[in-house]
Amino acid sequence: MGFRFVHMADVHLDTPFSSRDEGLRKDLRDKQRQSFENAIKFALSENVDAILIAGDLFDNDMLSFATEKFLQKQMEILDQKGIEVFYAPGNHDPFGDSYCLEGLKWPKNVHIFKKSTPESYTVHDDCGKPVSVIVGAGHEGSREGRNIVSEFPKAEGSVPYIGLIHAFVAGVSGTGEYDRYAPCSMEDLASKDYSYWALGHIHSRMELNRFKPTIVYPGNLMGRNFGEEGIKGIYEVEINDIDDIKAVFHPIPSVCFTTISVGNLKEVKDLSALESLLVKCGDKFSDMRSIGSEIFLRIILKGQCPLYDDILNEENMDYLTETIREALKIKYLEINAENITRKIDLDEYRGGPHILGTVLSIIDKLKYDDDLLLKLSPRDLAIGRGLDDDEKVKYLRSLLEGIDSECASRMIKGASK
Amino acid sequence: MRIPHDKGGIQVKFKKFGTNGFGCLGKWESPDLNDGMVVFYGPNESGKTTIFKLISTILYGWDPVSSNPLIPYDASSAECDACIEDSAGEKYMVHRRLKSRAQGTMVTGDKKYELANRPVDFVRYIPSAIFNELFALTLDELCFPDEGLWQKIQDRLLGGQYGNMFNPIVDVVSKLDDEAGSLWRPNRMGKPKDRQLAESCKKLRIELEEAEKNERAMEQIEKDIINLKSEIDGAVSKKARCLQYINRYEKLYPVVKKLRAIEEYTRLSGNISDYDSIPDDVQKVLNELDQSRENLNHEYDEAVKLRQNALLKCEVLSQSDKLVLNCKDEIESIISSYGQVDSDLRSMESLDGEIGSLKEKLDSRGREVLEGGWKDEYSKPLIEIDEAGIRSSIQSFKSVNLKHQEQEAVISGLRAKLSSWKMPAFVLYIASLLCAAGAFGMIIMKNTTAGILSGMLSLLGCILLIIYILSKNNKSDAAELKEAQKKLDRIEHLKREALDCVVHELKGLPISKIRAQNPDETLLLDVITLKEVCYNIQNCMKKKNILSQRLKEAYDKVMAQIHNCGLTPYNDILNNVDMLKSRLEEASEHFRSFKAAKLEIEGTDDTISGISDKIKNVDYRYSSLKEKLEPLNGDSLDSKICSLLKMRKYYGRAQNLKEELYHDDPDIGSLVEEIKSYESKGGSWEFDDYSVSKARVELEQVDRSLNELNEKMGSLKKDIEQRNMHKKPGDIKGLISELENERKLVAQKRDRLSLIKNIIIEGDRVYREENQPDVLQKAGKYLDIITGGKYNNIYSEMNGNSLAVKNSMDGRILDVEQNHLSRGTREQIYLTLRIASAEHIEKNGEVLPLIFDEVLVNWDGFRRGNMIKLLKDISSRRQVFLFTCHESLAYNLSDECDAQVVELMCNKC
Repeated sequence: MGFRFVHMADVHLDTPFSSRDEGLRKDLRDKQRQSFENAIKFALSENVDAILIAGDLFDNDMLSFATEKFLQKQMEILDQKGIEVFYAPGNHDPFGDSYCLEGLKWPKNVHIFKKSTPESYTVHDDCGKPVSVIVGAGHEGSREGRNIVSEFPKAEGSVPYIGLIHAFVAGVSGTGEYDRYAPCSMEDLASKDYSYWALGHIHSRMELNRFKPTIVYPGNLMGRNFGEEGIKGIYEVEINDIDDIKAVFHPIPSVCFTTISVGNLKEVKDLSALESLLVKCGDKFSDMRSIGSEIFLRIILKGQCPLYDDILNEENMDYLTETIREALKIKYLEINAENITRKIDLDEYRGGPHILGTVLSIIDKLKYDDDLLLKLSPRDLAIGRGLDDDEKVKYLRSLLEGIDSECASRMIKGASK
Repeated sequence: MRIPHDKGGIQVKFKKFGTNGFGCLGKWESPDLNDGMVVFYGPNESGKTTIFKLISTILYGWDPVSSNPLIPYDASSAECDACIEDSAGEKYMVHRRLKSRAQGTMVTGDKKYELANRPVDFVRYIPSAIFNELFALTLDELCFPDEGLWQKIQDRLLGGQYGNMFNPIVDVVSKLDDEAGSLWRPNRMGKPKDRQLAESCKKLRIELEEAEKNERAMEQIEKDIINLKSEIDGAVSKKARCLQYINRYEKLYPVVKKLRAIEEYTRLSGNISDYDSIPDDVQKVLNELDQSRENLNHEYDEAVKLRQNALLKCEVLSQSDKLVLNCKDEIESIISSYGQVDSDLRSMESLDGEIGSLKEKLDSRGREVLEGGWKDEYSKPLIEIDEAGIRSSIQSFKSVNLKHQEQEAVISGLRAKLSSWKMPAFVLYIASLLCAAGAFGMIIMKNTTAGILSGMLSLLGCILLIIYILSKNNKSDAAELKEAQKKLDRIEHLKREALDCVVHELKGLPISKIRAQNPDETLLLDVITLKEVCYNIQNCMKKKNILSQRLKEAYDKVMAQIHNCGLTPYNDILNNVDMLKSRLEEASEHFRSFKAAKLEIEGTDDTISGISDKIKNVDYRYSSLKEKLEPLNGDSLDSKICSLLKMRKYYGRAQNLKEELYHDDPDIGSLVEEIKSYESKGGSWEFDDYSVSKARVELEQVDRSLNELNEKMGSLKKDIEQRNMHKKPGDIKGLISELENERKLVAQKRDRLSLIKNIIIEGDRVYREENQPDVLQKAGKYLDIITGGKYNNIYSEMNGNSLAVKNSMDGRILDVEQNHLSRGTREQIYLTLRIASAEHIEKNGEVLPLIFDEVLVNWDGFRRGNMIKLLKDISSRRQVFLFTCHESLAYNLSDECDAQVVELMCNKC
């Protein structure tokens, strides 16, 4: 029997969930704790040897009292069952700054990699034979910029080595939006001859390398907003030998965020037809539903819509949202109609001998004319103060989407009732 | 109300004004006015400005309606009227009155229109603001128009063919500005959404700080609780120690006290165990021993006496008694057979009586049955008679006899028959005659009485005839009788044989003849009776012989014992038996007395021996006790006993205390060990009242302290519970984050709106540049005329909110406001701009009068002259009103422009 463990990361307990709905915020906080509890239950049910947490267990250094108690209880349960916990703090919960890490009374089974200097723990089986060496390092500050992985020792002997760190692996697609904390490269990871790299930081699940070494970002345990969509979970890893590694992803029931864009609204005649069209979206997240997660859905309506005024009517929108939410049997539904426009054929006005024709030609010009864009930039931008011209142009150009329709609807008599 | 006008460019001209209480004018009426230029000349406060307002009021109504300063201070209403003529020569009488509400009418021809406070229809396309800005100019208004107003003017100017398709740009921009301003503002004006959100965020951040403080406080409370728990644990331990001490004190101190008492009592009881053999009530025992000794002596004497009496009783048993007792068994056997003998004697008597009675019966019955009565020799044959055989033969006889009798009856019947049934022959004739005669009579007589009698006679004859025929049938009866006789003979033979058989069965007994001829069951019964009696007699005789033999044997036996006992016998055997019995009883009684005496002697001997032993024992015990008491303190035996009792009392108390201790706690041994253990520690466990009092005081203190700590703990827990209900930092951060997101969106939206606004403004500017040069060109042309060619071009700035002019001398473009042009030049620029604008606006509409109030006062003579020339040209196309207080200007205009001068008088004059 080799070494079996659960690899999780980016739990971000006590994330401040953005919402005006207090009940929803509380619900999401509870769900986040529940997802962590589910992961612990999974570890208990599978009777693994250890749990590896690759950083960002907390979202910030101020852990709520209730969460602190909850975390202690979970760790104590693991301690009672003899499951070791290896925890390498990340940029959100660096040991140096963390009140939680310093203040919490951790049970004896919890091993925290407090420093950015790598430390090693040798795990033994019941007979005292070493089955694995866990090498980990934690962030000491919230902006760790050094390549910590390069300081990891090289694997020695016949015992499998497991690396545990919260790090940014450069050169991997899909990670661009993440901060480059503790950056390293695939070559750095591969050069250590480890069997498994338990990474954290990237909130999307990624298997950077399947074999020799197996490098995994498990993603976060629960999506926290519509930027973190899809099914979330943990990896169950079994290492029997240096080359004998099985890593299997297990979804953890929690909350799944998902966004669906609906653009074919030109022919929608009335709100009932729109409702039917949107209810069909339910088919697109049956996989999330099947694992027992609650669905948080955002439907983005795009393009020209004959029901422009009806949809923007607050009462209609509330009714539509509630009706579809009930029909889809989901926890939360947000219908974003900011990108719909009236059914105006702009081509009819382009080049016309009137002021709208002039305006539309200016807008067309703004798409490539940076000087004109800067010239027409509002003198005091609400966002963008302190931006250089390039950034300002980028920002202003991001505002141009749909602006021609809006100009037309504002200028044409009767178009913006 | 619509005023019909079919063609554009209608020239509107005021022909006359009138007031009845209107500002300072009071009741005033103007002269008829020219179509070209009219100059109102008068000194200050002569009413020029009031007339200026009068024109505006006639066209647009009262403004304001309430508290309008045009209502004279001494009047309650203001009224004005005017006669307006259009280019077609049609006149319109407009009357307006303002009292509590605004009233207005317009009359043309025979039609009257209610205006209320609405504008007249001539100015329907020109808002009052634009009219006031472009058509009715005062000196003060000769500046760049108000921004909004300027935009409106611009919109009016740019309307063109698409004017009705698009919203006015000024409205669009204004709305965008409003919307953008409602979202975000670069300054601190107003309360846009961004600011509201920022303020909410600010409040939330304060709340966040509080929440974080709360969390930290909860952590601190948690630590305090842990510390408090340890304090409570300490206090609890201390309390436990105190309680332990008090409990031990309460438990062990009584034990210690008792142990000490036990020790003292044990000391006082001395070597009490040496006297354990002495009874508790030793004095009583000694007394009892004395008493016992006395009693035993008395008993001894009594026992000796009893022995002597018993010896005397032994002599009652004689030699004769011994002989009798030697034959005791035989005598007892005889006594036991007394009943048998007595019974045998009585049976003998009874048998004799019975035999006699039977013999009498035998004689009596013999006489009835036997010929010659009973004789003893008949006994043998009688005994031999077989009852079954005789019964059978009697039965046979009886059967044959019965048949014999029946046969005899048959024969006698036949004989009787033969003798009684023979009829004479005349009976036949008579019967036949009767029948014939009767029949004849009945036929003849018919139903008469005689006929009936004849019938009856005929019937009688028939009956007799029948009887006769019947009596003729007995011819076979004789043969039958003969046959019956033969059968009777055979039966008689059989009868005799049966009778012989009976006789044979009787074995020759001489039965009486009568009974022998007709033997029946009575004969059998008698024979059986005789036979039974014979038997009985024989049996009785046999019994009598047996009894005689037995009695003889008994007699011999009795006599033998009487002889052995040396007694004198009686004749009667029973008396002898009685005598033997009596004698045996007497001897037995003597023997029992002897034996009892013997036993008594033996018992007495034992008693005497026992009493002697007891006496010895009592003596021994007494001396022994005395000996044991000897070591005790005291001179006398009593004082020694008293000492012993005291020692025992102390010992008893010690034992009682020990029992109490054991009763209270069976495991007293461990308590004693515990006490010893504590005592051996020396000083730390002092079982005294002071120590326990001290411990109790400590306990109270600990209790108080514990209560305080528990209260504090409760308070902390409550506090943490309450604090736990506060908002969580994460929650507030979430809300802040949401609000920040909203702020970002709001800011983006505002930026977008502002960008849209700028795009539309830019579009507007470009469009204006491309489509609106004629206004500026015309204004430039007028300015060129006025300035004598110095400034010949007017430009609208990019932002649309300012103007620039071109100095034709040096080609510079000068911003009208920023390049410090003289006031007069600025007024000339703005005046030309307004005139050009007015002319452009009314291209397709009514041509309204231009009204200038002292607009030329700041001009130099050269430019004023140029302007007068220009006004002359303008007044040829429209009515122009000019108000001035300068007489020279008024008459200059009159001369140069052929203007009508209306002189106003100063109201104060």
